[in-house]
Amino acid sequence: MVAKRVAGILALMVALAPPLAAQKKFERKIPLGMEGAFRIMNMVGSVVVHGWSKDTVLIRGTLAPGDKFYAGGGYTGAKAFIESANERDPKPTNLEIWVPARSRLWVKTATANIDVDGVDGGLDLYTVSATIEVVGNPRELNAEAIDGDIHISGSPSWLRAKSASGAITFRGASSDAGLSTVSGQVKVEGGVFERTKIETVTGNVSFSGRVDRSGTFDFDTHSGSVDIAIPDKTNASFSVVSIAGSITNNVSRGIPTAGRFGRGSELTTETGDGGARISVRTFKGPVTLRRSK
Amino acid sequence: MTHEVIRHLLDDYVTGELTEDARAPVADHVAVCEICSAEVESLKGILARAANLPKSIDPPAEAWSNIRTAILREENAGASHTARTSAWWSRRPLVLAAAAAVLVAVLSSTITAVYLNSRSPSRAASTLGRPGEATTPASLAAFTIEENNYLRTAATLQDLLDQRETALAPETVAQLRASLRTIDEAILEAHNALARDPNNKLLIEMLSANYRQKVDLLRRSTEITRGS
Repeated sequence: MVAKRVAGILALMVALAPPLAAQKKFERKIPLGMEGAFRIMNMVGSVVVHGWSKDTVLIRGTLAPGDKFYAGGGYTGAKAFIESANERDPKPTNLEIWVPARSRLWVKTATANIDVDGVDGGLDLYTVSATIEVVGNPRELNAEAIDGDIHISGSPSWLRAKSASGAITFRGASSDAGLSTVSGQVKVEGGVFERTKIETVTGNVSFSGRVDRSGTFDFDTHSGSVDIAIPDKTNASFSVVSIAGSITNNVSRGIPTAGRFGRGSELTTETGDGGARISVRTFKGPVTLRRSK
Repeated sequence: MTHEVIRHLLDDYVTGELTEDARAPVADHVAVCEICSAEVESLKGILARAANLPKSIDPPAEAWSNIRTAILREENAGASHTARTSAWWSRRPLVLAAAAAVLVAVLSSTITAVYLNSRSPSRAASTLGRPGEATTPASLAAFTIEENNYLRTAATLQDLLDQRETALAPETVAQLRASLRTIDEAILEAHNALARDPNNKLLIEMLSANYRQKVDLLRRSTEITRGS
């Protein structure tokens, strides 16, 4: 009985061994200036990038049999990509990369998740259907997905995030943020925001944060709901228009009126002494203004 | 390197941005591959033509004057005769034709420039404009012209995407089509509302925003399928 069990385990180990052994580990170092540019393209698998304080790019990963890793470039800019042995059925390559913290990073994938942390320079991140996750305070962040989710935690000064059916969540603060989806939910919460523009077609929008008194905020959706929560003592003026949706106001005594175009509803109101300009426009999505908890 | 990989590197090859270790195999492949060779020639042609484009295009002063006069006339007419329903563009076909010709030329060049610029990392090319930016036409006439440009651009991008669709997973294609359908439904709904309420500027702006979303999604989808 014991012998049979041992034989079974051995058979299982033999069965598992070839693919594990076939995975090829690699490591490559590329000199790159502290503010240099680095581009990496990896279609399938994962890309994890960390910022560090060295003027070097370190790439570690595992390649499927037959796949090749190419990298090159100079001190101001470098580029790396994976060539799959089978373009029609690429095998996953998992990459972990360290780049100079202030560098400009460009990543493109198809289904490989992108995780970036600690990079303070500029980030350009593109994926088809994977998840983009950024933690840190990049100077500029541009993240685009077709049907993948985008999660950002930090304070990028300049932020643009776009997805079609994926969700966007942003926890932090920004002086200039633009978020856009088609049907994906957009959720923003955290610190102080200045110029902010959120657009969806059917995706629901939820904003909970402090608004800079000189800021401008635009929320546009066709049929998604818009939920805006602001703290007490916020100085803001609101202009809310919905062609066919409802407006619920819990931030002031203002009462929505019938729309100037003969239908829908409108609300113009202020909290405190005005200040930030908040504009909400929907075709039929309901709008709720409330105090944050 | 295979043809499929090299295909994605051709624009960097043409612009000289390819890394040293990748340049040689690409050059070797281009020398023997008719498809890639033709693509390289085409890219060189586009770059040459783009280099010759003017930095900006100013419309003739006279044309803008005509448009401004017509708009002012309409505003004045609207203030004193709100009950009148016929629009200025239906009463001034020659003015509209002149304005339309100029705007089509300007908008067409602008959209082309925006599309070309959108491939560069320049932040100014972001299609999600800065908050408060006036990016929508003020009148139905201007919007009608803009709508035609959106439709043309969307059709061109859709053709391109159809050709490159095999580069995407079937489930992604399905998801993308669903998203485009969602936008089209919103466009249709806003269009129907605008037909009932043609003076509603909010509807014009919403419709315009929906078209921008569609063109932007198509542009991003074609970009992501074309390699680095």
